[in-house]
Amino acid sequence: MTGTGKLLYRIAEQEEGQLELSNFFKKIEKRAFRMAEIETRNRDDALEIVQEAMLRLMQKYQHRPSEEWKPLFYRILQNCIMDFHRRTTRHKSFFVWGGKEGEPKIEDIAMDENPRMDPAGECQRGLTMKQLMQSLATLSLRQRQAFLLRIWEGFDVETTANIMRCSKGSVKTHLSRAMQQLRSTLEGFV
Amino acid sequence: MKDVDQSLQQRVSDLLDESVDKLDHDTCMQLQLARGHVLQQNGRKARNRWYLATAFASVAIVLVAAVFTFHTPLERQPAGIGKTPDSLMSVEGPDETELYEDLEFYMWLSSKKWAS
Repeated sequence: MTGTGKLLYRIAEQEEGQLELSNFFKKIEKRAFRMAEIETRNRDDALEIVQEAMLRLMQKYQHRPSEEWKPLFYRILQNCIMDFHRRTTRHKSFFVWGGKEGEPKIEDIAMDENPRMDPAGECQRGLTMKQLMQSLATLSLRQRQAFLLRIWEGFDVETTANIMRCSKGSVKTHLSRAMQQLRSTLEGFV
Repeated sequence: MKDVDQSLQQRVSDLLDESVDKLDHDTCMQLQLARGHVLQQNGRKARNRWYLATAFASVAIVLVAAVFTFHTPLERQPAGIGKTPDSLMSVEGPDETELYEDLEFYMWLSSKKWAS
């Protein structure tokens, strides 16, 4: 292949890669947004987290095989969510004497109610969706991650463990506790 | 218990899927903008790389052209000009060297004839 031919081939390859990445983001962005919104309970924060996750995937992993993008993206998304929680926990600890250390729980963040969040508004059975969001809010961050990644996204235990950066045993434990909590809070609604 | 759990998991998944399908228009637009912004950065980065590569290639071509245009190779000068008789032998080819050796032999031969 001549030099010009190689150049044209590279350009076509790059454009194809860009298109594939764009299609991937289009497929995943809404679910990622919903997951981020469940964690942040704020639409703008959730949008920012999703954009950050897209950017990081593109910058670091776009040259990886496309079948790896989904678990990579969710791992980055969870990292961004963890960073968000650390920032907000640190902010609260600054103003509150004897602030909590360690894993931040959603109960702490739930104290800051965001009136703009209205996930129930889009669904026909508004009451059940609202109750679901409240129930999910009673889980710890890790329990919620395990539940959403395993049950909603359908990742297997090993992939979920890689995304959450924990052992397979921990994933099972978090999921088991999440189910226990959801059973008690959603009793009568399902 | 397992059936209850499976039923609960299915119901929760369905609800979440439904909430995604019915995401409000404003949020969908915001997500589209975010995606476009991210991909635009990628495109800009690729274009910058091409611009840099093209600039380097252009400079290299200009340099090579300048070297070939302005460099004048040294013309071959006749052998011996500007050379001292002592160094004459070093610039001559093998044939000329043989001729001088023969001449020396003939000179010696003639001197021997006269001697005998």
